[in-house]
Amino acid sequence: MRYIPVIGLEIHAELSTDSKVFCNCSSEFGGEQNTRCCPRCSGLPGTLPVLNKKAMEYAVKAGLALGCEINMHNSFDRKNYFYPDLPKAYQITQYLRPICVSGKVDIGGKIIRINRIHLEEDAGKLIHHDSDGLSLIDLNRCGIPLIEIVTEPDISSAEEAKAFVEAVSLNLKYAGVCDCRMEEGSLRVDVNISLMPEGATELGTRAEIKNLNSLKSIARAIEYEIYRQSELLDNGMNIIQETRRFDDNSGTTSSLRSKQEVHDYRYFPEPDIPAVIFTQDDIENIRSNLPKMPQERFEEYTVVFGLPEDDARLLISDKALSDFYNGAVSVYPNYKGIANLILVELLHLLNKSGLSMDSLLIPPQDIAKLVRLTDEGKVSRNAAKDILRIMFEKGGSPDAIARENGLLMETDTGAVITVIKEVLAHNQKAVDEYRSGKEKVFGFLMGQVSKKMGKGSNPKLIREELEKALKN
Amino acid sequence: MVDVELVRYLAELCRINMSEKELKAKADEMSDIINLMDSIKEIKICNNSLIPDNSIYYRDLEEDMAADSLDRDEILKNAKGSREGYFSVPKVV
Amino acid sequence: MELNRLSLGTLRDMLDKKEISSVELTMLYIKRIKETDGKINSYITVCEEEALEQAREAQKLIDAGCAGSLTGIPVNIKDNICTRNIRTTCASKMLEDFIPPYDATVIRRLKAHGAVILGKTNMDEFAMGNSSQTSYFGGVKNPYDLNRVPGGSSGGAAASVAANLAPAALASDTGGSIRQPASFCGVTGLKPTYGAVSRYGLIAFASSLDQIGPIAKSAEDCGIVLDIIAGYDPDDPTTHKEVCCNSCGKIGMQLRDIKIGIPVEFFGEGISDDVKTAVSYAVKEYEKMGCSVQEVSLPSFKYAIAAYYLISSAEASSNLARYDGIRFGYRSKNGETYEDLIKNTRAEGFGDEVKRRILLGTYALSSGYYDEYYKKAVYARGMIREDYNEIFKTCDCIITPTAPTTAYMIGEQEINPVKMYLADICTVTVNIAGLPSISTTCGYDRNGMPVGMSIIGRPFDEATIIGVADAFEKVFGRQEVSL
Repeated sequence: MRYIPVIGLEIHAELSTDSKVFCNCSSEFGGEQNTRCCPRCSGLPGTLPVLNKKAMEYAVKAGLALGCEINMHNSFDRKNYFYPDLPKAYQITQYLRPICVSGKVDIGGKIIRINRIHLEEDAGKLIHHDSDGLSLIDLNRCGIPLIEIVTEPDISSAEEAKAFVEAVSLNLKYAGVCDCRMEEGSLRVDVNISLMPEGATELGTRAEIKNLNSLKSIARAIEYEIYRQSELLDNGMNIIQETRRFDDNSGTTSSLRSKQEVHDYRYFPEPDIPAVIFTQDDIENIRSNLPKMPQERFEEYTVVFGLPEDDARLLISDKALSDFYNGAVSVYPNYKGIANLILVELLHLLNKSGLSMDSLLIPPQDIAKLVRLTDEGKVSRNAAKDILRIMFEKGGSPDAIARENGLLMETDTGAVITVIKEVLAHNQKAVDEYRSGKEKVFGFLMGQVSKKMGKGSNPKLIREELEKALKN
Repeated sequence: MVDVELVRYLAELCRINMSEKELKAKADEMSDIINLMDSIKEIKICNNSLIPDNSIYYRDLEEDMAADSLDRDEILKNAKGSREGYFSVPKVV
Repeated sequence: MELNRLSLGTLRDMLDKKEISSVELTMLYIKRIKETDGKINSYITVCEEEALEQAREAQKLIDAGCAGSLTGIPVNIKDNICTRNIRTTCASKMLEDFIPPYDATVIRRLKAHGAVILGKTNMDEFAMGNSSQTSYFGGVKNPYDLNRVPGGSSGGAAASVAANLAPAALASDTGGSIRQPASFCGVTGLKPTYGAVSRYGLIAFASSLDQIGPIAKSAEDCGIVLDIIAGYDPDDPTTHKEVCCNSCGKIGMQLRDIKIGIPVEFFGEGISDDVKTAVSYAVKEYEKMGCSVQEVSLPSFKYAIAAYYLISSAEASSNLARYDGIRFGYRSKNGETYEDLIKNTRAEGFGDEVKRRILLGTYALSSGYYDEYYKKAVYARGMIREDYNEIFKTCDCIITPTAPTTAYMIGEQEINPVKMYLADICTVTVNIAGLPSISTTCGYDRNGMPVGMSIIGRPFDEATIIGVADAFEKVFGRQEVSL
């Protein structure tokens, strides 16, 4: 029996605001337990939530980045349940009127629809102390603004799920609203998966998988679930609607013991927070503060700049890199040349040194200058690599570096002829071999001349003059 | 009629322990109280704009500004159980 | 010194003229509290040391000639309003030893103004009730007759003012909790417009209904206190930016221009004859003073009790879910697991009425009942607001009885929840509609117990209802308590 996986994702992303969503406690990561708390976020009696404007702004940015419609009139609701990491015993979230609806993300040929994005507060952290049967509560992260992105069940495979999470992460990073680090918990993904027998029209029962800490876990968990559910269905058994936990070590999922199968969250409108009204101007202002998004840049790079898709993809994979590239080509539009230099040489230097784009000493204009120097025939391609390395390590402008290091290409024909004469004189055997038809020797002779000329070797000029010299 | 089973469910939902005796007493009281509340059921919701809605313009919201948190001692001082700077509870099953 | 006749204005005068110092005045009240409060149990906590320190500081302001209306004047605070480092109990075992690490906004404003805080007053547990008999610290007694209830939930505040244990009090009103005890205790109590006074620091009962307001001997005194505590607060986004201050601005106004509405539904069967008589008398006085009076109607009145109890209980069930003994408050000794611990804590820490309301609220919000109960209650709220809007097209204020009866005997009524809930009928629509309302004494029943009438105004028009109430108070002879 063939089954079609029907997968939906719920992604929680921490918004990178300075303070928490309903109070002024710092949202900075870390800190000793319970040192980033106040009466509000620790749920003391008499306190009231005050909505953080930037959290709303970032939620709108996220929605715009993911192709959503913004709900101009959105409001908050209480989700009531008891758990030690939830001090008020309710979470303030958006149930009825979320800030964004109906978005879409292109994962390369397939569109995954987004059902909604809403803003809510995070809970605290619970640590289990098995030795004396206590659980310990840290409320530092309680009240951090989260957006929850809920997809339609459009995803059909582990690969698609990974691609989707990658696309969402990229867009959120471009929008500047979340650093999307799964390993640090600023991006959390839950998977809802069911199997539909081929040809069936009704959706199967779904299981929810939690505790996925990396793209790899997401893929493995989905693959395992497809296997687990197919086995069950093949043997005529039912899928239980439940929450399951993925175990990284075994690569399997297991059922989470749930005290209450069905939660009655008793949602009702949050009376302490007025509904938020956006005007069209508000949205346009926020939109205008968004940088160009990855998809748009990809299209520009491939369609307008003519870069190969792989190169374009690599460039957009890091906003800082793409911004850098854009900065360079805006000064000197050799799109391919600059892309090559960056993607081959610069990335190599970055990878080797373990540094990120943030710590780059080179301003984008200087990359442009370097490529221009090469194009104008003032330095050779090899010399350019050396110049780049020096720029990377110490900074400085390419012209100055070329001059200081004798890397400017020799343009004086006379000097070249002189060296050629010397080399030919010293390598009579090779000259004879060449003249007798062994054309490969040319390369050797060129190498000798280049070596002698040093860094200022001008391969084109050398080739021309050498050819002339050998003809005689 | 509000029966004991419903009250038992509600008491569980709101996490208040009640003896059988108390459940029964509350069930009786709740029946009377719900009778009083039942007049509301005859209302037909026809005009959604009538539903009151406190609202605020986005531009009037409070700016994002981190300020000093409360001293941990102050946060913990009313807690009956704390350990190394954490609130402590008996194990969560 | 006779504390009886001392209005806030008089006290201000005496202090400014150095006839008495703030410390002396504070000591007078503290002495009287020590001598008399045992009879009525209106205080849960008396803050003698802190009060005297505040009085000393206030005296500096007075001496420097920069005293405000309440500088150096003692007031007391209902015990559901957070006072930093002074226990705030909500009259519940659950918060018996809760010490807030912060001041409510209204407290900050009072302190900045130089008022003196005498102590925290007794109330119904978590403000749920209208008799002040559900307190963990023992019930409050009515100073007019110690066998009778003072009303609730702000019974301690009202009784203490009536018994001259404070010239003014801060209290809270969710369904009548300022106005009804004010009427039972023969004093004046004002519930401001929803959003006029910050709720930050008010331990929440029903978020969309709660308001903090003053109880004092007169409408003018209520206005004086209101001006200090009212106004937009960034810590409470439900407060309004445009709030009318100068609450006493219409005292002495021309009453000929005032149109009074009398809603027929408030004078039906459930209202006692003594109450009807007293309120009708007051209305006639207003007519004599030149007001025009017309009969009006509030057709959605019949849904009022259901709407109020469903909405307030629903919000309360959520607001009170945080009381689990983990981060503050009472913690049960029984409970091996987290679940058991919180269930026992809540079973042992909450009183009966609180549990009842939480159950009702949980019921109203639970799936299967939400649409039929809570959602419709919210809709009824809209209907009631519309009804009031209609009335205010032709009236400047509305007069109703504050309560269907006068203060009843302790033990007579509180055991029957339904009967108790129905007794709120005169006050709840005001909270549902978010309107301002002031209760003042308009008569005494055959047993000498005070009868209160409520004057309801347009949103943020506290000035008009204070002016109207004041006009009556100036011609009405109040009978002081002889405690």
